[in-house]
Amino acid sequence: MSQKSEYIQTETGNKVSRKSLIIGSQNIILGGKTIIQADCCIRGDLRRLVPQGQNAAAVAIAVGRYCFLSKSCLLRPPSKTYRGQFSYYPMKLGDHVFVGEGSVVEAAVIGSYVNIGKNCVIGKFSIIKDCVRIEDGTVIAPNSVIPSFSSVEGHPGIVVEELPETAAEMLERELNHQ
Amino acid sequence: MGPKRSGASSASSAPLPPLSIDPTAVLSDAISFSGTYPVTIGANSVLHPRCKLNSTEGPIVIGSNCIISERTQLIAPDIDGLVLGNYVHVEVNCHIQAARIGDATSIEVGTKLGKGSCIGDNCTLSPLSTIRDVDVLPAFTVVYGENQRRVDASATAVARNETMLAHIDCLKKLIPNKSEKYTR
Repeated sequence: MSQKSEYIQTETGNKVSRKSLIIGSQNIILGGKTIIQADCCIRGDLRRLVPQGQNAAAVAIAVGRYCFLSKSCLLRPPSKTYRGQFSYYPMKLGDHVFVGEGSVVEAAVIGSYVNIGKNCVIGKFSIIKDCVRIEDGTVIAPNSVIPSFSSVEGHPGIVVEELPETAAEMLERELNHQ
Repeated sequence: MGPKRSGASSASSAPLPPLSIDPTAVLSDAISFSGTYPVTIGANSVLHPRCKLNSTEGPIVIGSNCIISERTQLIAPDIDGLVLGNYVHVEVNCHIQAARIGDATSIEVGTKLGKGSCIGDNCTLSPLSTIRDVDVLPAFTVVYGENQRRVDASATAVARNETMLAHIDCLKKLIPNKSEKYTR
């Protein structure tokens, strides 16, 4: 599937395209077996700011195992003002997460078995639970919570359908066919 | 405004346009400048990596306290150029060919502004919205959903600008400033 020269393979089996843009890699954790395609951008430099004297929070973006980040998608930690201090906050992706081409993800938490389509916008601090499918071109509002086993569509994204109990296997299969 | 220097932009080896960058502005690595008309960047503004400024058709002026995010393209539509006001926040993946963007306007992810469009002060454009060519948006307009519009009556403009300043302070701590790279 992938050309040997285009991808760099890490010890834990992650394949990262040489054409991707990974900023602040010291603040990014990849769980293993994750594929990052060309022009993908991951903003690990936007990490949490802590008051002086405390240890700096090390992780900005944590990605689970078997994730697939398609061409030109973007992972960007969310930011807000909390107790008078403006800061970026860490972002966590579960296992078996697929992010489609050109999607922009600023979620706080994404569960496992989540399939995000092409050109989606996942708003700041949104929480997506396990087994969710997000159709192409969906815009999820900031701070929203998407329950498990739902299919989301539209602008703004709303739950249009409930997924069957076999959703985890189904979404995993879809990911393997990409 | 420094002399042109080739090879400063990682994207191309073409000479940079004449730049006038305020010393308090923060320009990150790998910003691509193209064109020959001058580009002005105001005080305290932050440009994320991989944003593109194209001044082939006219000059670009960015006001003070602006944030331009990565992968956003600012393209001057004509000889009158593209003017961004103060406190403008442009999010990721935007394609902007507007003539003017007013003060304290938020342009969210993936917005497309048509050639020569004019956006008023204190407007909010929700993600993936599209503004047609030469369209004019009055002040305090909110564009949402499938290109629906309403008037923002929340009177939160002052609070928003304070948040913008806090956001810029935060980015200044996180993003290394490479502006001298472009001005040498």
